[in-house]
Amino acid sequence: MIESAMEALSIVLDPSRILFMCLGVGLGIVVGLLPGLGGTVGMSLLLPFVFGMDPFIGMALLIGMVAVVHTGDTFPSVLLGIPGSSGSQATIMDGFPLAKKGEASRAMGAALFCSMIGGIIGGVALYLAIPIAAPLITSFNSPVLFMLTMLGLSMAGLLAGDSPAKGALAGLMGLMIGSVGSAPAITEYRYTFDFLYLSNGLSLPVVALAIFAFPILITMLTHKGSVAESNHLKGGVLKGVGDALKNKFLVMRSAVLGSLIGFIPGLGGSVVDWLAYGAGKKTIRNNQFGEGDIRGVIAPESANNAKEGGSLIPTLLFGIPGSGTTAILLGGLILMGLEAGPRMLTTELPLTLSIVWTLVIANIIGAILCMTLVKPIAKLSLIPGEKLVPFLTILLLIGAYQSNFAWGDIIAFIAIGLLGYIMTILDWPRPPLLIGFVLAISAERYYWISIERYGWEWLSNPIVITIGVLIVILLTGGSIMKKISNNLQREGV
Amino acid sequence: MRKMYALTLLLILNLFIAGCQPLSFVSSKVTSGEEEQGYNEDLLTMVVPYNSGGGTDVFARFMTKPLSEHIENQPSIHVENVPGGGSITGTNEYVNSYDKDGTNLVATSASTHIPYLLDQSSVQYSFDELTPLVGAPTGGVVYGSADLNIKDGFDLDQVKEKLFYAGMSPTGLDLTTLISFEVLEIDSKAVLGYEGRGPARVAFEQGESNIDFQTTTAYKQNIEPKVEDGKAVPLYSLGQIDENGEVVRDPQFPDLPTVKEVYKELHGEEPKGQAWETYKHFLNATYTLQKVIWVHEGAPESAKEELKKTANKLVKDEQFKQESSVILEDYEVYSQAELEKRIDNLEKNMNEDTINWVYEFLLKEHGVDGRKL
Repeated sequence: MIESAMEALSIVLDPSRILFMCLGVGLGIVVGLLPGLGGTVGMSLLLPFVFGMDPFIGMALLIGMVAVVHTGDTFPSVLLGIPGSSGSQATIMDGFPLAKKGEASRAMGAALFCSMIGGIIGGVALYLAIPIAAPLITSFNSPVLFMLTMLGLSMAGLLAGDSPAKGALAGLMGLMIGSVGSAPAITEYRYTFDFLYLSNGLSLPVVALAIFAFPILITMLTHKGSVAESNHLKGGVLKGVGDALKNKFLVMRSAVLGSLIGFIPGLGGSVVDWLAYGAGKKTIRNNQFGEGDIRGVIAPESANNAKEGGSLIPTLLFGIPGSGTTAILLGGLILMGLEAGPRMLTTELPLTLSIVWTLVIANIIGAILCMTLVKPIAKLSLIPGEKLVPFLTILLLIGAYQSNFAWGDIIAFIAIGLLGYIMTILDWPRPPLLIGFVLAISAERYYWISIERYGWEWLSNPIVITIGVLIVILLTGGSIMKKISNNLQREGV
Repeated sequence: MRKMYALTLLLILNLFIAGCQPLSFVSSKVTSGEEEQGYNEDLLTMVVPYNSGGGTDVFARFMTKPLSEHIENQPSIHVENVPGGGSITGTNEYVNSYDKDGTNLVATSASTHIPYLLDQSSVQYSFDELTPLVGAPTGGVVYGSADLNIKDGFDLDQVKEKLFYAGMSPTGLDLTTLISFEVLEIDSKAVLGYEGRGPARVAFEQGESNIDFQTTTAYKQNIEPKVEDGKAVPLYSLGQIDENGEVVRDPQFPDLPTVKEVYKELHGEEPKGQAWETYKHFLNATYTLQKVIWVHEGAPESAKEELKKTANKLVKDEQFKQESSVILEDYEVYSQAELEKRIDNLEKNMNEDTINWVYEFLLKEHGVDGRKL
């Protein structure tokens, strides 16, 4: 297989293919950079062009674009506190406070470097998974998938901040918003109030943008002044890279976690940044996550680029899209005269391997390109907020509107945005709401299937029990640890 | 002061309503006066009521090039995705707000046809208001796990194990397969809620289900290798409906018996009754006429004639046949006249009895009240 990998490398390095890859990378960074636009938009833009293309060139274009969306989307997350795409929300938690301190360049440097490493690890994961993918994917049956969604939901508890009760309530609210629309198993509509718009449920980009970006717009207007509190930008890109190197285990760990979550079909790779953030928060001692800890940037950024490699496994080998982006990729494959399936491992193996190389190379090109852009773009954080708001409002509205091209998108954006604003005022954590929203349908779907198929028998599945124990440890472990540390603190005082 | 507020509110409301109008309303065709002088458009729109990248979207995008090549002046055709509401939103919008001047086409699929057949309240389109241009079929094969210990569909009455079927929703493409189970009296537990045919196939591989179906390409790509390995057994094909409304073998699966043949073997007589009539009706609408491109019935005659001619030229185009083999799964498109006849027949077969049978079937077997949809 190494031999064919080398062969694929020489195919990828063909100048015409590199050119198309760079085109893809360029577009990927732009859609990532613009808040609200993400991989799905980039794919839709490119789809009309790939028709009839040589598959190697077409894939260079598409994968080049997908690979770097989560590199480019770091800019708005760090500089403005607005997610650049739905995959970089967790970066805001610490990236934005860092920008406020004037350390935007440092945060960006660390984030971009981690994105690159994460992307490369994702590519390697894809390569390593090729021979074992089939048995691996079929080992996740519905009860296991259900327990994994539960594990994801229990992560919401970790992100709840000081008040677990508020976190749990926010998570439940997310579950409720996620249940709008038609039920996964039987054709029944919930909370649609006879609006056809709601029958498909709310789209993730609308909810993610509204809940995080809308409140920022209001704060920008009310607080006046620029994002960075000091007029002086300190710390350079290289300092950030150094930070990332110091935390190399965290980078590795988060990247592996990212590609694993991307790999599990139907788990919603869109919360991978939160899960990596939560896991980081849990495992790092003496952290100041949430107040501008550079490690809070490193964890999610390593994970979200790694996810793409993982999510390509079920997409290419089984034709199961893990996200909106990969769903369109499947269509793109057909337009190039290919079909996802086991053939991608036999007759089409060179193409699959070329995808691995494209992922790796595109991530490197993308990160380097972005690093050269950090200096000029970081100055955004010096611009007074009220001057940015009109520009951002338009971008965000376009971003929301592109999910269904319906008025409902904008109404939903504003309604959920107001909810997000109220939550910020009351100091309620918003990440649990988003995790609940993303996992709502999967959780319901797999619970329903488990019960329908196995009755209660599935509860005795050993993997289910293992994950169950893990969840209990995760939930109680946190509060026990907190109690111990509180006791220690009290004793210290 | 209060008056000013009221006025401002009124103004905002007006602007909002004005904004709601599609752009085409504002720039309402200047050329409408000369419509009878032939069909010289340079830009056509193909509305796709699905998101980009899906099966219908890929089909529509593929069709734009060969279609435009055969229309006089070779206008470019651009695809406009209007997703939402499981394709009902976009199709409603096409019928209600797109100009009926022959420059707008729409591509529909089985999941657009089923809500119409079931007479769902959110459906505002009707096949009467649309003229079909291009239509293409797909096929389906029902297969079982090797663990069932049967050789083919004729042994279905000897299955001892409990059958589990993994599907998406009782009112989607699964409906036709589920009705075929009803016709053949296959007692399977339908576990619905999977995300698509792909995840359902994985469920089959895991042993979560042991009877499943896939459409033509997916079957050939993923299941035929398994049949060769002895892990899966093809049971029957759903078949196709011919010009006379009868079920015949699928041209892509000439060796597989159809539901009708399996029934005859098991019961010693031809299938009949309401279940069988309903099966044929739905097989026709969801497989034999799976993908259809339409134009408004109310479009100018000259435009319709030109588009119909185009569709017929396409049938004879050898190059198109070759290029389209992947997208159309090696099936052939119907000539326009044949397609129109088939749609007419489909409409004639729609009656209260069929709909009531389906509603009762959905309620009894799957607990879904179809009348509330």
